[in-house]
Amino acid sequence: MQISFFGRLADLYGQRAFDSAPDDLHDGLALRDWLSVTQPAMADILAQPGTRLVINDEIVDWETALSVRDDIAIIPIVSGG
Amino acid sequence: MPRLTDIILADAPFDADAAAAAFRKGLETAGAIVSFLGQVSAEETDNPVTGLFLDHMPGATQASIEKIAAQAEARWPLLKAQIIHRVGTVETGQPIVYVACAARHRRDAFEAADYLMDFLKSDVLLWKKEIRTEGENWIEPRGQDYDDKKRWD
Repeated sequence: MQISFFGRLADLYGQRAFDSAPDDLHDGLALRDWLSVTQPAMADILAQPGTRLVINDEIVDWETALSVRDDIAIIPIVSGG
Repeated sequence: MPRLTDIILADAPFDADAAAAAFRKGLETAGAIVSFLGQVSAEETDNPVTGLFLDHMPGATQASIEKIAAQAEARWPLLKAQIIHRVGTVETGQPIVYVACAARHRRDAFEAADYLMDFLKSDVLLWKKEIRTEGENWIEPRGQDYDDKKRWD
């Protein structure tokens, strides 16, 4: 499962995409919990309410089910233009 | 989906004067054209901003701008509008955003441009990082940006 990061999260991870998330993470909450443990530098931002899950270019609830075929991203709060 | 608004996410510097001239073409029925140009401002400090980096998600960022453009089109009788927004690295003095609205009457054009800017500043999927002579930092949204948006509730 590949996850893309944007903004501050991409800086914290050091690159745009992360391609080794387990395929059995069944929803966004499980993904967020797993990332908070495996990428502790991101944990504070992942816990913020403005941090959102994006699937196939749509912002969705963290409870949304994940599929390995989805284009998955995690975005911090936007700063606007 | 907006019908009247041309939206460009530009990954290189753009010529705002040329954009304004092109926008006016074919707009003989417009009584008013209002445009706004935002540029990255220089500072006189010990550690000045040298530029901004704007991160974006190509599809989703475009869609977020289309959404606010559609809202503006529904609210004011516009004849045409344009939004050009830079992404990537933008140096001080360079344009970062250009908004133009054409309407038959000036109040509609003024208000629509003002509305578009308020929502571009708060709702669009962009992440902005200040690059300074020494160091860089991501910009958090300001309370003022949310207050500006509330004017349209």
